[in-house]
Amino acid sequence: MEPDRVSPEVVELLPDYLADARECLERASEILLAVERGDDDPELRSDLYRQMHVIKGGAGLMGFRTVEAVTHAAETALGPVKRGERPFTPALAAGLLRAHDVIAALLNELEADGQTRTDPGPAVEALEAAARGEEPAPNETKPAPSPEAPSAPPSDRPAADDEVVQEFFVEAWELMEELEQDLVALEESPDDSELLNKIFRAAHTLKGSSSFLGFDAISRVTHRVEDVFNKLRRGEMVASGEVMDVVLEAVDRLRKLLDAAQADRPGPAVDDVLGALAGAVESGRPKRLGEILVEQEGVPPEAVEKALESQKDGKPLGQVLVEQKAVSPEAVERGLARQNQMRRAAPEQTVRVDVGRLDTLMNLVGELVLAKNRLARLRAEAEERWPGEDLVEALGETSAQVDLVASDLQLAVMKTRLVPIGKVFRKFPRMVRDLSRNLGKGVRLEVEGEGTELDKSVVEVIGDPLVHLIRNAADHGVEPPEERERAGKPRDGVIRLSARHEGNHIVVEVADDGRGMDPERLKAKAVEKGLLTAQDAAALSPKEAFNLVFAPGFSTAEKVSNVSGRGVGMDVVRTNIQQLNGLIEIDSEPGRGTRVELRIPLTLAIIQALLVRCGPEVYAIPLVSVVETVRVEPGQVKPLDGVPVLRLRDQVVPLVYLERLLAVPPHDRSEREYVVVIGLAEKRVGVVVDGLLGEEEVVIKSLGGYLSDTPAVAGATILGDGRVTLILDVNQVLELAGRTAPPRAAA
Amino acid sequence: MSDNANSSDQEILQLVTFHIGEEEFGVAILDVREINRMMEVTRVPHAPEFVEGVVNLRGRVIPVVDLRKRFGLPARERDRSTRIVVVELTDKVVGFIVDAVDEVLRVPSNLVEPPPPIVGSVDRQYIEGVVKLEDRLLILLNLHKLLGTDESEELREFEP
Repeated sequence: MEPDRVSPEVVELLPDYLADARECLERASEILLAVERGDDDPELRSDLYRQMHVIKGGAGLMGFRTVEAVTHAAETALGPVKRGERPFTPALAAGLLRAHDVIAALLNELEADGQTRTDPGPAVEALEAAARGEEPAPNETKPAPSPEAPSAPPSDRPAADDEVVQEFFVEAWELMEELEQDLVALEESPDDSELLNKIFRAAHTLKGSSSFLGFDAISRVTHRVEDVFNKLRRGEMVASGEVMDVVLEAVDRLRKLLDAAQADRPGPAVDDVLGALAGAVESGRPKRLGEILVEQEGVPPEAVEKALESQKDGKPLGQVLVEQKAVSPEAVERGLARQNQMRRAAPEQTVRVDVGRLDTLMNLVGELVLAKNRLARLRAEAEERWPGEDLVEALGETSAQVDLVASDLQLAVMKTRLVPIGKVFRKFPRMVRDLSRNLGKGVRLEVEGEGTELDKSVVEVIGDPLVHLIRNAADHGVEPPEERERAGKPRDGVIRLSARHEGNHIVVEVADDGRGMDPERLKAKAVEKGLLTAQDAAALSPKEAFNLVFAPGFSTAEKVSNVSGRGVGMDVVRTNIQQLNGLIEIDSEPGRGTRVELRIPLTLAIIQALLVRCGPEVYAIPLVSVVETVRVEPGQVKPLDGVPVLRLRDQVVPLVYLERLLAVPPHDRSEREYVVVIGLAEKRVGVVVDGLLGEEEVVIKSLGGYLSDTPAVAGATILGDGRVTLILDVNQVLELAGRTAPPRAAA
Repeated sequence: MSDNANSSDQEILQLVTFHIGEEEFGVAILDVREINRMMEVTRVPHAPEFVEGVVNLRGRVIPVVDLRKRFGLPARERDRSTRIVVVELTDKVVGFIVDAVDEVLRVPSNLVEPPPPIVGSVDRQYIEGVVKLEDRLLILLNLHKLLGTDESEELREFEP
């Protein structure tokens, strides 16, 4: 089959189509998993059928024959199942999952390159085989599609066209029936969001398939109905009696249109219905108090006009009207109550905003935060110089207020960039299911805290590490069922994926109840691979031993499976988490399981920093990377293997001197030194500085161009006193320290 | 406008002139964003020697190059006349430390001559041309070259 291409005529429609299709795919994946769990009710089957149908309809519109062919095959296979004529066989489920993956791949290719590469042949054949009730051929040995394989799109096949049209009518009548029932139910409970969503989806499905088949009038009416319900489900309008009248009228007209289309004769005109629906969308917005009073309380419109004119000093309209004796206070009360009732249904209103705009907003807030810090500094100076001055006190108050507002604004802007981590989590149930099958183990995924929100840019980077951690947990962590039984555990292993907020961080945890890690075995393996000497290994604490898994090329799996064990996964985890300035902690107990904790800052642009002094210079260290600060007396630092180290409880922390690292000009050394223990991912290093100056909120600015290659410097910021201060790149400091430190510190 | 009287297609260059030591330099006024007094400069560790550091230009962090060091001239005490000439070249903002800024000159472009083989202490490659004025010689600097050649290859990547 020819690859699909995005033609210029539809290129503008592509983002919408992709968003729609992906939504359908996600839902389809959820349903498939539910069905596999045995949650197999007819409702789900028809929902699944609908999802495929919507993708197909859109694909037809966009001219994507490949996507259409796969979804058509899925639909054909699902038809009898949906009608209850055939059971939902495992072969069908497998075929559908495969189709799901192929469609997802095709969509990605269309988005990335504007054309498809994946061959839909095997997926289509698998579905066709499943539809005939055959078991699927194993994935690997799939032969190239035979020439006679009927994988041509429906549009090339008039016979199929008929079939598709018949399917459409069957489905459309079903939907109409459901729609009418739901509309009646909606009049009872106009706020039922589930019901609203269901009606919206029905209208959406009908719109998609009718437009695909060229039933123009039906698709136009359903489109408007969809508009109405889109507003309703978002709470942007209320399902008032008038709105419902219009919608029911539209549904009646749809019946007539369907009748006519099925009988292949021209249907009734729809312009009046379209107009009424558009009017409903317009009138559904919450009314203004004036309008309500005029309509419900018989207030003359002129009185409202007059009141609005004289309403200059911000007095509420109701009060003005009462003062002018145009209306009784009780009537205003009633009007307000009515208005509130209309507004009540509008809890969530969303606007799609370009990320670039949010970035600009964030930058501006960054500037404001800098100015705020500077203002606070000036205020402190002024208070010192002219204590008790009225003007200074006023300045102080204003500054405090600006401080408050700027902080609120920063938080508000940051929130606009937050997305729930559930977006990333959503793909894991399917992944774990596949893993569990491939590995022949029972593995269950428990997800918690999907609603936890974090910055969009962080969400993009956190997916890959989680994939690796979950794979590891399933492959290395969870034991085969027999082994688990012998150990007195339930046959099925559990992987828990959770997210939660802790201060300015988000903590994401992957924990399994598997066999855990044995520090001694890890050490032995590391020695065997030549990653460290037996002597060094013996000195490692259990925690340090767990961190060995991050060493490149370290893999403890007895056999390399196709799931994990090539020793690159943990490296990816480390790299990505470092990129986010995050920390990794591993905890494990042999026989009980392993827990990996990722601690990641909420946002990347504005950070809390610890200001440190080194001779005459001041540097900022991102607070998220600061594990602790210690004051050390001379003599507390001892060299180990030629590297100065600090013994800190059960860990030996190698030290680096900031003045040497950054070639700070010679200066008088202070008697006491401070060690700032910094950490990234699993590494820890102590940075020796002359003094700690406190914490400040800083905005990261690029040093720009070639200066950005400056070793150990991540960027710059401007402090409250207007001076530029460099921000340490914790990652590079650790790396530079690692070069001189013993191998265990680098591991 | 006597220049216009000379010739109809006569182009007028507007130059900001400054000096370093005894030499007088000019740069096109359109490239100059602003001129500042000496500011507090933050050292950047391991940066090229002629990069003095970074400064805060109203909330923007920009690198500052010491032109004396760039031209290999001996260092000199900064004083009240020391200035930072901030130039903007294709979106890159850089400050140059100079001994003093003198004036804005209007020069007909036909007075600009190609650089002679030896111009004071400045490497010829940074010189766009020279302008012979009545009593002195003005060196036109090629800022793009200054930011983008030889040992400072990386300077091409300058960005605000």
